[in-house]
Amino acid sequence: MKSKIIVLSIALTAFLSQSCEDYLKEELVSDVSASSYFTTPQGWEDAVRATYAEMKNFYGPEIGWTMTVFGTDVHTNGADGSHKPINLYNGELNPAQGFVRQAWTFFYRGINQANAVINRSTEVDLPEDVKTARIAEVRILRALYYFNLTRFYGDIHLTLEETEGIETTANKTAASEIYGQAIIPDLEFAIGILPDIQDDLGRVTKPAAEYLLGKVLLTRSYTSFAAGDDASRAETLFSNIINNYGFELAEDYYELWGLNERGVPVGIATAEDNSEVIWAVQNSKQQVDEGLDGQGHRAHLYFLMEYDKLPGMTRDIENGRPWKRFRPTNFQLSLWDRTIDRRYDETYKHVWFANFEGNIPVWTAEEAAYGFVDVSLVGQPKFALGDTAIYIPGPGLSDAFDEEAKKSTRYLVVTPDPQFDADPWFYTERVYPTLNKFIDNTRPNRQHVQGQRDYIMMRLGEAYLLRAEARLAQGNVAGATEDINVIRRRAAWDGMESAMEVTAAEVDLDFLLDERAREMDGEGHRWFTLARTGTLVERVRANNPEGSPNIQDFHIIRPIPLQQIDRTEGGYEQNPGYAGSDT
Amino acid sequence: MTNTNRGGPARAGIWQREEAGYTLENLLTYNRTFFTNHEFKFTALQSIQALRTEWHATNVVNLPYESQSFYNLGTAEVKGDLFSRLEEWTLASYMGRINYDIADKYLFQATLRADGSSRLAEGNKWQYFPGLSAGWRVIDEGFMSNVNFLSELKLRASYGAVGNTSVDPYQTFGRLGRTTYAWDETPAFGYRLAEIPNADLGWEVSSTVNVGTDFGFFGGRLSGSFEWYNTNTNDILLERNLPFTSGYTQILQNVASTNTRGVELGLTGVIVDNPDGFSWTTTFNITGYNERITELALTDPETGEPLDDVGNDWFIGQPIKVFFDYEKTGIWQLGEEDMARDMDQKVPGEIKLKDQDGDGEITPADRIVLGTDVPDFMGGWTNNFDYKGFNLSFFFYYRVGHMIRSNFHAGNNSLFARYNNLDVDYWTIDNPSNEAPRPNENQERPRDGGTLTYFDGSYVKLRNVTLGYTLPSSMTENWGISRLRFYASAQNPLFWSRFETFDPEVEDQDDNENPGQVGSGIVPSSRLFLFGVNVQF
Repeated sequence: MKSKIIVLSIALTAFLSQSCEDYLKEELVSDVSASSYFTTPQGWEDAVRATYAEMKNFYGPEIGWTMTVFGTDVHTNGADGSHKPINLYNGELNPAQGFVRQAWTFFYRGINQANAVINRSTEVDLPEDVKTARIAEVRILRALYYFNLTRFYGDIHLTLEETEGIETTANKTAASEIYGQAIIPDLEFAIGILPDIQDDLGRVTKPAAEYLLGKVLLTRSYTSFAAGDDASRAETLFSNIINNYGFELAEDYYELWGLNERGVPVGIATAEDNSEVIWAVQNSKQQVDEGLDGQGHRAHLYFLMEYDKLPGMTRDIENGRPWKRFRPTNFQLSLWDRTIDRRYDETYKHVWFANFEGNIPVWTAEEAAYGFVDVSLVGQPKFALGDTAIYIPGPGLSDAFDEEAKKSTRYLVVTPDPQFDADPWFYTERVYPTLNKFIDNTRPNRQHVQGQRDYIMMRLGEAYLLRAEARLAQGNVAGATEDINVIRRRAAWDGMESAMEVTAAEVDLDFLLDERAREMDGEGHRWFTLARTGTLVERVRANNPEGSPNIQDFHIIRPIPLQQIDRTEGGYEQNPGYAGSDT
Repeated sequence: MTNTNRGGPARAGIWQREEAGYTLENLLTYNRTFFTNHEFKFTALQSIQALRTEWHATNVVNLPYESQSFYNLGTAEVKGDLFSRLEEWTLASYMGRINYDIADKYLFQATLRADGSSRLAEGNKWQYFPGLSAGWRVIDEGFMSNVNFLSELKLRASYGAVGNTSVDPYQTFGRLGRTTYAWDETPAFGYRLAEIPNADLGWEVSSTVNVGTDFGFFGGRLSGSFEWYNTNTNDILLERNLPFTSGYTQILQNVASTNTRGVELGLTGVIVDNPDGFSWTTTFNITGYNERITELALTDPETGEPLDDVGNDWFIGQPIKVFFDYEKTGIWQLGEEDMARDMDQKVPGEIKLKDQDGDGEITPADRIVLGTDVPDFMGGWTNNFDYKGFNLSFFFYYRVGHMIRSNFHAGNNSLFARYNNLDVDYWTIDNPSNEAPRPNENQERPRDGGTLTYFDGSYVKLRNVTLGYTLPSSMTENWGISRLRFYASAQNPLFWSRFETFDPEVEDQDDNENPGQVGSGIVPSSRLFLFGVNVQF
């Protein structure tokens, strides 16, 4: 009994020795909070870095590729994936569509982060010039996020202040004001401040800011609220980028992707160091391999066909993990003249070499009877490990393989599928020419989804094409032709440079858009390009058989996410044409 | 180990969670009797409670040999995710209680407690919770002595408040989230805004008025109790969804008030009472309640009146948990092509929804409250039969009139032709079903497939039935055994339910925040049959 009393007394004393207030005080140990951390120089710099990191939610994962690659004239859906409605423009491309909601969410989160950096800069003890330089960076990012939002959704919520407390209202600000109050002032401010080169590779530079402003102005030049000098200002900005910073076109197109002249990866790790790259979203090999970065560059998954179920093949790192999301339309495949243009050959995969003995086919008696092979070889494997297992001759070369030629060839020759004869557009949804630009054979295993490539958002090659577009918009066809020819000459087979050149008589916006398709194939710009130039609906109708029957004029912008509408006090106006809109 | 990696190299991880908690209570009681039959009791309580949780996790990829399982993670080529974290919360309480009983006939109790929670905002940590109750054993009054048919009568009334602070700690700080970036290959981790600091986070308080009576008739052959209660719950703590334009998606907040009213009736009858022959005792109880939201954080900025919060599925006058969605009326059939397209951009074979507002189009305005997780009534029924050593007892449980959402059906009815599917009557050109839509290899799940997951959750269930036989002791004593009983019992042997797939009495294991949901990967409650012998020497 006595000992119990002592224990009790100890417990009581232990409790009474600290006050109640102390006992109930919460202490953050594992985490930090904005009010304590963003006010420190280190914390504020981390807040800047976080503003960059928001890019990785869109540029790299499936969402960004899905919303920009298919649903266009040049790519349609492959067999797999949950987000085909974005290609199909059917009733499932509606306000509840997942990527439509996520893109909206990510960009507004990035904007709030940028606003926090700017708002909280006054509390941080750092030299003013350091602060201003960082603010310039996040204002570029904010401009990028607003630019994407207004390009996708039109009139949207605008705020330049960090959200404090619980915010349940949202405004619907005209796109013209998004450009006028946010995007353009942010970019103009930053251009005056940012250096030409940053010590940290990946921070926004002055040429990157100019590039974005050029694209913004070019985009606005097509709108009803364009300023008269938008196209000419854009041209000037792109000229500055082309002439003044020492960027150079890669000598060979394939270098940009770390491939060789047959589209085979040879050095993807350093591809982004190319002098043509102006700005890229950064991915680190260590971070993607170890899973510290859950996103990474994932386009190595999406353009691949289902090679791994074909004879003699199994999935491996070299050939990639085929998620078959995007396949080129016949229109895309028809664009290159491969006798003079190297780009298809250099960025598509042509041959798969047998890597799996277990399902190598054997010659049959039937085939011997046809005379494809000597009778003595019946029952023998058609090819051995390491031999060609699949070959895609591709555009212009498929006709050489008639049915008999295909049957008598030891390996599988993939040509447009005869079952699609009535509609001779396609191979199939599973087997089709495979864009190898983003293949990543350095992943730690064949299933790993996070690739190490940087996301090249801006490159000099596109700068030429954007300047060409700005020149066209001003009626300067000759100037546009010059720019297009710069790109076409680089893309020519040796000795074919002059054959690749076009004359001003051939050049118009349609030609430019086709050239962009040849040059920028799969690079994540197409939907924006078509939306910008007002050609989305007509080009999808003409060239994308899956999207063609469904696409409507209102599809030039995406629906406002339903959850945004539901959660906003007093609702939020839906974009025209979509379920729940007034118009 | 390699399953989730589909033939890729081995991946392994350890996830460890340690909880250490304590409760210290100091209790002081004082009893005194006045005037021979006035009992006075005073109780004082002081207590502190704390819980400390630590997590550690290690996840690696590319193990050299799989036979190690997860017992040599250091050998992996890629050492990926390392994780550790600490969470602590404390609770301090003081309570005083006075009981005053007069002649065991008039019973009074008054309580006042104060609780302080570390998890709530500065200034809102402490809350007082008063309680008062009174009881009157009417049966003991002199004037009842002639009322022979009554064997028990007691009246009770009480008022009391209780609090809830069971939320994750650190919600008042506005914690940051780590972000990953790199300058070329140099790590550039950062911190982003992830939570809105809630400087107002306070107690959720439920105040209940309860009136009840205990009664017994005919010398206890029929007894029971009846309760009526009215609970007002204020400042309910819930995650509230916010518009994405704020840069956030949700916040933990004191969001709503509800009013819940209910009745409970319990009856026990000794129907046949013959110790030497047949006896039958039965107990039946039934309860029902009505829950409705009376206030919400979302209010009209001008009038201050609460507004329906569609973004959170909270509606004034409805329970907290409702199922708000479109209503399925069938499947679009051949011949309805134009209507399907014009109303909902659909084709025959897809799910047909009800145009609630009759505007000729399916829009978000056509969503309605389909049902709630609140049953119309529920309860149980127990029976005991005894006859000469034989004993039979069974217990039924029932819950009627509530809706459930079956994530099992959402997950296993994709009609995508790639995964296993429930056996449903799906639509084809030759089978104009109105039950399930057409399979579609181009669609990972049917459009508006959520409408296929709502079910009437009503059920009656035989929870337990036991049949036993005890040999007469006169016989067993000869063998030196004082009691020998054989019995067979079954747990959950039978249920009757509108939800045909399996036992609907399963809350979603993956999702405690969403009551009323049947999980996607759940195991139905097991049936257990037991045969036994009881021997006592």
